[in-house]
Amino acid sequence: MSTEDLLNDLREILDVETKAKDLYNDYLGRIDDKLIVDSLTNIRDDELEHVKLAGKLIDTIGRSRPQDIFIIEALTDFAESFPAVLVSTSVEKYLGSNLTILRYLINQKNLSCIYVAVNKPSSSLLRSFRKEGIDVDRMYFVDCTTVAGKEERRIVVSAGNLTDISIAISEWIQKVPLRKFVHLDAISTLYIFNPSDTVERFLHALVAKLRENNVGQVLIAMRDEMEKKSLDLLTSLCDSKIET
Amino acid sequence: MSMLIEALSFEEITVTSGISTLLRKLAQSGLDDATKAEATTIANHMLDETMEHSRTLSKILKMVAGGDRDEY
Repeated sequence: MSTEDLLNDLREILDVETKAKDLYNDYLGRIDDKLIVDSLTNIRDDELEHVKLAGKLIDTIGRSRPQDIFIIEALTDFAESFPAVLVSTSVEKYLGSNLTILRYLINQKNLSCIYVAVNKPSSSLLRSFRKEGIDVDRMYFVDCTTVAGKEERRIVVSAGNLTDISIAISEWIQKVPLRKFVHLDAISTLYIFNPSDTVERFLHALVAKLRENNVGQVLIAMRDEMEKKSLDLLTSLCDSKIET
Repeated sequence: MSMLIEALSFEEITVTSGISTLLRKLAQSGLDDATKAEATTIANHMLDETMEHSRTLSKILKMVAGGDRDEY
């Protein structure tokens, strides 16, 4: 549903409300019964207010921008400064936000992505990303959900072994020569497999290591699945935060 | 009476369906949360008042026609 579709509908509503107001004005000039005149006057006044409200809606929606724009604006300098960005998202917006970020950083900014897949196996992610037109040739996976198997662009580790995850990320940092970023999807799931203080120490070390290597980082956190204290700590570790 | 029927039909069919469609599209839109919430509140207010207009017009029509049945 585009903003232009909504604006077209609103212009129609404005037209209809204006017609309604004119209709009642016409009736009021032709009716004498006081009770009916009073009722129709009230309705006509409401229609007048609706005309104003429809105009206000057109203005409000006309000035608004889609959620995607906010994410892209927040990542504009990412490919130059390679910061650590925390993306705090709701469960409903998680998929859409994830795809917007990947599409922008991989397809438009030409960055390579080291994708730490904690939620879904890399095979399933690859299918979705191909379908969404994301350039998967630039993606390298640390897969924490697949039990075994070997593929050219995948290192399989356990979500409960943070040291192995860290080693796998380092391995990709060495092997992937191009400008790159680590996409950790999702931090909140790491808390299921590991004690919170261990996850926090791991993230602290990871952010520092990637900064040192000039590797960008996008840390996805589903805020409803995390304690506020942990989210606050992550916010302090990162350079910026995007709320979706 | 014909003008009251015309007004009732306009409120019930044209206005109500237009605002209901808008509300459905707003829910599916990619607008940011604050804009979506503001627009939805305004559209719901307009829809509530439009439905109230239909009820008022129905009562007037019943009164003018001298009927005592509940049409709705």
